[in-house]
Amino acid sequence: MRLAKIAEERLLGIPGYSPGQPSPGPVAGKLSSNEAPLGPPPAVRAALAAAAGQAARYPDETRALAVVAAEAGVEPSRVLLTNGSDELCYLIATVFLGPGRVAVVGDPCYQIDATASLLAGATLRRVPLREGRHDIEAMAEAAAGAAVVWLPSPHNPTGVAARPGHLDALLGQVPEDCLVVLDEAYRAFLDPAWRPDAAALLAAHPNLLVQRTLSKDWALAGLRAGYGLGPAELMTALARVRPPFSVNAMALAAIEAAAGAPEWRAMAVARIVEERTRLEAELARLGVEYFPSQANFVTARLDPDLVAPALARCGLAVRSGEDLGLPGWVRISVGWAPQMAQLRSVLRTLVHAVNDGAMRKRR
Amino acid sequence: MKVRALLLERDLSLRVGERELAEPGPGELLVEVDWAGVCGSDLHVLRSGDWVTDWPSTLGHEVTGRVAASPGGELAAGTRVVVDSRVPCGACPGCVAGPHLCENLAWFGEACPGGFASHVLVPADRVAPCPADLEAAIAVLAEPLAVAMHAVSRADGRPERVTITGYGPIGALVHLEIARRWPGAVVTVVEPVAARRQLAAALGAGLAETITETGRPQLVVDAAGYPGSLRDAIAGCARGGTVLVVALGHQPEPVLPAELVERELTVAGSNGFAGELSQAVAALAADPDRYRPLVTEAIVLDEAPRRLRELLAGPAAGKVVIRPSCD
Repeated sequence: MRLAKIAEERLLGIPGYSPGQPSPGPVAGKLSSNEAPLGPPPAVRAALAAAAGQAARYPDETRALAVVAAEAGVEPSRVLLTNGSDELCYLIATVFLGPGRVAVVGDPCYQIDATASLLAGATLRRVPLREGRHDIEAMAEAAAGAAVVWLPSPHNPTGVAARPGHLDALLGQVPEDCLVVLDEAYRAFLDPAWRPDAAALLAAHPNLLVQRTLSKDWALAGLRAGYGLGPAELMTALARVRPPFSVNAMALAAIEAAAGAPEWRAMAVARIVEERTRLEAELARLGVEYFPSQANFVTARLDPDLVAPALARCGLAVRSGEDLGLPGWVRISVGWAPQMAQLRSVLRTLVHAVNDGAMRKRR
Repeated sequence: MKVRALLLERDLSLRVGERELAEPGPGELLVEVDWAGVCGSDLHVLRSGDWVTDWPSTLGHEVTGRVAASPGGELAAGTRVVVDSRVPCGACPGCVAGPHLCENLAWFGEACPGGFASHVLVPADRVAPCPADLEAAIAVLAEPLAVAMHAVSRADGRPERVTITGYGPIGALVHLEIARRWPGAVVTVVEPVAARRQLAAALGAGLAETITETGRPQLVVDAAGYPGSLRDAIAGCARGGTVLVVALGHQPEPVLPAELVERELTVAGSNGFAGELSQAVAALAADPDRYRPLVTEAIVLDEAPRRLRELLAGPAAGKVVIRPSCD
């Protein structure tokens, strides 16, 4: 079919998105999409039920925008709500990228950053990570002549965060006409001492845009909500290319309700950090290489073909690194305690079996 | 048959090993354990050896698993069940009123091998079947939730303000049951452990440093059991109110009878549960996410000896559950 051929040519080299595999058992076993295992606070469910009655009306984002702005510590004019933080990638690419323009990404990078850049016709300048962390100096050099620098921190797929102070250094070196997109999807899981002062950075650097999702610690992944923070003029420009009403009424109601339950988020994040610590300790004991994570996942050098079937037998699904630019690795979302205990147990059994096999071969 | 189990010896040492379990006969079920919860009373036994009648002991009375064998055909193989933890004598006047009022009441895991093992043997009429789609790691909360439901049923009236002292798993489940039964009740928690305070706040409770700050609520739940906790609960309760005792305090407490009279207080104890086990299963199945945050830690059997010793020194944020068999 001719149209299919045209589409194929147009999309040549642009990777499609593969979502994390569902769990073979209860949904709590899905450790493949970095979702929130405890879900949103109970108030969100009540808010969704109440919002259902307004389904016939176009959404009004005024109140949700105000609570997000208050949470971020900026004026509402400096916030743009989006349909998941991924929509913001496409808006940025639409406004700032195009044929002949360059986008800087880490290698491996967050896949949507690359996809949005390539779809806009831009060229990618890839800067290899160093031990899972962005090479800030190399990225600053690569930013010369570039239009956008995509900088997730903590990074996906490694979970490693940029060092405190390095962001300021990068922003000081990047040309003013190059937009730096600091994606803080996993900010809540970052050691508080490592959390950038986003408001201060935004005040000091007009070419900075902070990108956040409400899918992780806010636990609203299924509703698709995220936001950008930046200069008001920049938000206005991005809003012009955003489809009208892109954040739906249910998501807006959920944002308001979740904002009123910071204690729930604090508890849920604490559980994730505890389980992440347990998993990393187990990997260290087993001698499995992993990137020290400050996100709600841990990426470890494990053979997906070996690990995935064994985990599937326990109702667990993890993400193959092959999808994420890290072949030979798996990305393990930090889930609820019972699933994580099973996961650690399976990994112990597998690693011991592999080690025993290697010992026997040597003999 | 041999099963893999956590073994508590007379000298209170703990290890994982094999123990003998009788083959099930008609009227009995062999249950393959999926998860078993750690109760405060298990920790008491680990410290003291109290209540154990047969050594080495395998503790664990909060048990869920799947029927592995049912020689009498009472339940189909694979059926998910939770174990009724009560072991009544069946012969005393108390038993006539209900197993929880048995004068010789013993508990699963102390009077017989319990759930910190790959399998348990239970009478077929001492389990509650679960819906097939109820997650095992949620179902394991059925027994302590039944305890909480029964406790709340012992409170008179419909309190507008409640104070819970102690936010271990039973305190937390009592909170959720109060919120389920009386959604408008304002619940305040007094709890010194930071992680437990964080859980209480996340689940909608207010926090106070002492019971006296909570303004004389109509219902005070003593889920703490520290020396003097009953005294504090009585002093903090409103006139005409109820003090509900669910913690197993082991120190004598001076109570002034005239205070109970003059302030018209009701002091109610609550022992285990009556008919609430199936209700607890139904509540968990109806809204599992409501209870999910209460399971804050999970371990496999091999990790249990070390971790249980640690728990004697410092409590977990919520319920710790043990997976006896590694898949």
